[in-house]
Amino acid sequence: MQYPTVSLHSYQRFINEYRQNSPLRDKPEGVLRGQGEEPLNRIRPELLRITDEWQKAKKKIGDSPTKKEELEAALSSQLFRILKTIPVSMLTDSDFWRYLSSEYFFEFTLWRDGESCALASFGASSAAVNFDCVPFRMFNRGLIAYTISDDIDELSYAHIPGTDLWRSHILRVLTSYSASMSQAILDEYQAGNLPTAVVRDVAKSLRKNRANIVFEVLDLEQSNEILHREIAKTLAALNR
Amino acid sequence: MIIRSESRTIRPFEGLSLAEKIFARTTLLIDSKEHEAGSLLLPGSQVRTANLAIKTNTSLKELQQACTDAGVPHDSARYVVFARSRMLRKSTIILDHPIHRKNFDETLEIDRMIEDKLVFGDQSGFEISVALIVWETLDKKPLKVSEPGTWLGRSRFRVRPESDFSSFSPLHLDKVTRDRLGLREGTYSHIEIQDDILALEDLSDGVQVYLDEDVLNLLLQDESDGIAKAIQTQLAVTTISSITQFIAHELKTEGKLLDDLGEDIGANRFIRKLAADSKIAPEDLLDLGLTASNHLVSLVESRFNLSNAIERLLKEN
Repeated sequence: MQYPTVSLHSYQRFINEYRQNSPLRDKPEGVLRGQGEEPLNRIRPELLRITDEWQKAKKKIGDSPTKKEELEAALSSQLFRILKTIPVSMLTDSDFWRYLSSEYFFEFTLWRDGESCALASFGASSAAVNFDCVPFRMFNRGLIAYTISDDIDELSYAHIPGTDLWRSHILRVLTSYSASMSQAILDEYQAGNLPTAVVRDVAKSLRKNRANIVFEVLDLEQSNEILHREIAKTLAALNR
Repeated sequence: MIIRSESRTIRPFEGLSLAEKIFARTTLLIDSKEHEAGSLLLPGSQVRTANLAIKTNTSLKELQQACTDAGVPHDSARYVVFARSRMLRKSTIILDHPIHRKNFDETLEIDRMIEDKLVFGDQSGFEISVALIVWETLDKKPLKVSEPGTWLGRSRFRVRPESDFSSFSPLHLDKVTRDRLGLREGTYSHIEIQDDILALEDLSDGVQVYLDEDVLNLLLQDESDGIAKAIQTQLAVTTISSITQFIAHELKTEGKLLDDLGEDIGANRFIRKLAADSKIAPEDLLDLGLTASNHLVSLVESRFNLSNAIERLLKEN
């Protein structure tokens, strides 16, 4: 199996040239890693379909951050379904994510996170991509939804919009290794019980709980019990 | 003068000492070789293919006694093995054995072929945890565990590839990178640290080390050369000192103590490991980072025995 990759260095160089409006800039070419068949070729048309969908939708959406988030949410489940079919070794290679970012998601990233967004949005801030990398965070959003439902046709949890919630309180924190706790948080958020003023303190309390409790083994009822207790405590502290 | 102080996280429960002892003995067998809990660096191919097994080094009888000590009924606790991918947000439970049931094996094989590929196929590594866990809600009593999911004892094995970026492998510092980082021409090295370092599980995800591209190319030609080794050691000292100072400043800015960071947080593990290796309290190490950076650098130099490396280099040349 072989697949295209883009190194951190060459991607940084390209982004830098792009931002300096260099006329010579070319997107970094994918360097093949491994040998044999190339699984990505199977899914290239589907990846292009995602970018087409974005191109069509962006005119209607304009600059609305809410609508942008909704579109990212909707495309997350599609991207997960497409990428789930390729080998895990590709999905756990940061240079492969940089290739995807550069080849299919570069313009989308600029549109989504802003023209002057951080290198992390492209997966180009450090050797290992993190959850600020747009296609990587979209894939993991779909993955969490899939882990909750265990049904590839039922990824509706990925469609729950909430840029800050997903970024700061689900994807970047270890809580998201627990499908039941992720589900409990998303349910409460969707029900309007986790507004910004509350969710930050609740997230801190959950982190403290994790010191003694293994969230990964909890069922939904048990996760809900912990979450509801921490929400109630936070609301009491905020005198609500 | 360094004032010695120690701190440790106290769990608000009693009767856990046997459970803690049991899990201090648990080991991970990697291709039949036994490893203690902690971070394990392996060749990349071994991370992807090694045979894995947990050697429990305990018996059902002893686990039942640990539950009794903690006030947990035997039918309410399970011996659990679970794992999670390092890169992807995916975890999997490999075994949850009720400890009132028989047939507890001393060695628990992990069949990578049938376990979750999103976890064990992660070429950047994975973490395996083994724990004795309360499985259902118990009556609340003072200082007794009662919540489901609470662990009585546990051990964790972080498996990482040797070639991993966790070794803070330097990247080329060329003109483009210098311009991007706002560095002057002639800059030899630079360490970039992300401001969310206190939130990262893996410290290396937030640290980037740059070294002048010509120097780095020369280093890569023969890493075993005396000068190459001395440069690498000096760079390691600079990197570790910078990270320590950055963590100390971030903790101060955010008004946090080291104990406020979870044990999963890389910055927490980094400071404790460096402090233990340097035979100094973590709080004193952070204090050096804030108030005496020259002493901190000397301490890290001592940790790497830099004088020895330089002396060897001078003799060789």
